[in-house]
Amino acid sequence: MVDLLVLSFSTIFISNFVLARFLGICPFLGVSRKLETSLGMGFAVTFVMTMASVITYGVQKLLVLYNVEFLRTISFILVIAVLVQFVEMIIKKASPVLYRALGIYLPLITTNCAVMGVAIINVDEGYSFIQTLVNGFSAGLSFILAIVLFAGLRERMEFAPLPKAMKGFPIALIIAGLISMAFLGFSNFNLQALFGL
Amino acid sequence: MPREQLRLVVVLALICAVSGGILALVNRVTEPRIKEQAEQAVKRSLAFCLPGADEFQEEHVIPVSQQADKEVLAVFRGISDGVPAGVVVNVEVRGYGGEVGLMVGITEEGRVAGIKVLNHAETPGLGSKITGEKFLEQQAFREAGLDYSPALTQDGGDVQAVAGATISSRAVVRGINRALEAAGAVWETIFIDSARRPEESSQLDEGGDREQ
Amino acid sequence: MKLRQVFANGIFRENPIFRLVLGMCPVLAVSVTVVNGLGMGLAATFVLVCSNLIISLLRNVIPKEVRIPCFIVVVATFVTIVDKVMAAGVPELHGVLGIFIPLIVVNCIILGRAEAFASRNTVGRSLFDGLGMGLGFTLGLILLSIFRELLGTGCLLVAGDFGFSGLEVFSESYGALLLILPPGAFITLGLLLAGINWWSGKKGEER
Repeated sequence: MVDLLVLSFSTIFISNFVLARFLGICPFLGVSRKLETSLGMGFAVTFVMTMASVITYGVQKLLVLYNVEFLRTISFILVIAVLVQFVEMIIKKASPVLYRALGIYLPLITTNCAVMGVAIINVDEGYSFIQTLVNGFSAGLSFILAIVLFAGLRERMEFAPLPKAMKGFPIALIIAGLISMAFLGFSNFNLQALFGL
Repeated sequence: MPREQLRLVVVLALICAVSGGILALVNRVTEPRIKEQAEQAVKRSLAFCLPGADEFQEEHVIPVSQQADKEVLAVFRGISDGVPAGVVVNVEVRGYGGEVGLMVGITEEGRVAGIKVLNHAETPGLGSKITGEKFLEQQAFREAGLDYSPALTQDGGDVQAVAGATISSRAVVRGINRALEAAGAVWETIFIDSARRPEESSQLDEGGDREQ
Repeated sequence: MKLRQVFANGIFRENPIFRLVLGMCPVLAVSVTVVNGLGMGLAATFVLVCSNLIISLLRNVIPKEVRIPCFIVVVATFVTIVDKVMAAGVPELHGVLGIFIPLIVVNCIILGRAEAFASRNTVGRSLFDGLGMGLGFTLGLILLSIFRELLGTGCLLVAGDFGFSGLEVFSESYGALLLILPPGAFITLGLLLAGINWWSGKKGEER
């Protein structure tokens, strides 16, 4: 149980998917202009990541069984594409407002490197089923954390006096860099001491 | 519109089938080379850690999953002209940023012959310096052996840590100590057994128990 | 648009990194050394060109409703090919680029061009679009990597696979370590982007 907590903590803070691993940057930069949309996107992504982790765990087992591991990239991305279609339908039914707010960014979750990334990481690290589940979910949480922090700051930036060249993505990237620097502090964590291992 | 839908499925299925076929082909061509690369890399590391040995045999040890701390990945017996010349141990210990994989060669005199950092996730520019000659080829490591466990100066020993990367350095020291332990556990079986039965590989389960 | 213009478009006017701001994940992650940036750029260009070609060839065959899954399969096939070939040919580079090689399949540039260009244009034009975009991507990557590697470590062109340990321009102890760490990626790209915006703003004013 504790090692699952350690895994989760690591994924959310120490190797944050966006700020340390550079996964999920496109939506991170693209959707973070408004806080509510960011949160909605974060939830959608977390859901997809968790489901994708679970399903690709099974797919990997199948691939190994039939000795066709070279089909991993194709099969994983197809699973994710189907999953995103599915989530799109759910959101359209459940919350049309959110659906409209997310707009084109919803189908773009398919191309979110973080989703495909976590699926591959789970396999490469040889995680068990429960570890895969925890890692997938935590990866989603790490995305939410990063994007919400970022969106909060970006909303402020809208009103800041900036040189024209800096407006938009340049200043956004620099802010992201500063947040990433803050998160670097987490890598000093003595997890053993914190969790009493 | 079943006809239209059939077309959708057929086109997609065809594309998938063709892709699958192409990939199977590519895989067939590249896989042997990939395996070979991996084997070459291991051989190079083994030879680096125990210069003088021309052949290596993997020893049976307790599988990683059954070890308490899951640190000893493999133990190799180094052979020179048919006679055991030493041991190389592949360990993996927890560092600052992740796992640090080490290979440690130990000569038949029980002295550390060579250390190689196989993989690590330490901070670039700081902890990553544990792979450097300045750290790994220091005097304190050369003197380390079965009878002399190395330790950082911070921990009462002689090993100079990489400046600003105590945790990474400590991980390497721990790895070397672990390797020495593992080597010690199989020492008798390799050197004494082979005096009696030079061709057979040893039954090491008893020796391995001591690692826990 | 003439073919030459299609090609140049990908490098300048619609440069994927600096103008379209697409495919950022590998850009930030891989730009630690110039060789890594070059390797990733070439790999992505190969996938982009090949998939643009095939998708353009098949553009009248693929039904609109399933076009995205079809595009994905085509792209994923080429990505897997690049992955295997690199693992066999340049294992050290392959290890360093790691997860970002299979992640080429979700590089927004590739699927983006497939949808926006290759599925609506002839094979020839799609080829040049792929080449231009790929080159623009690679050049952008190299530019960013030069800043990060040179100012971060003092060395350039460290290339393990080819046994070349780089040109040391100045001693590593003068390097700004932050640049090769994650925050450095964000900040360097941000400043570079600002610089390019400023420069093209000035060019616009002069007219």
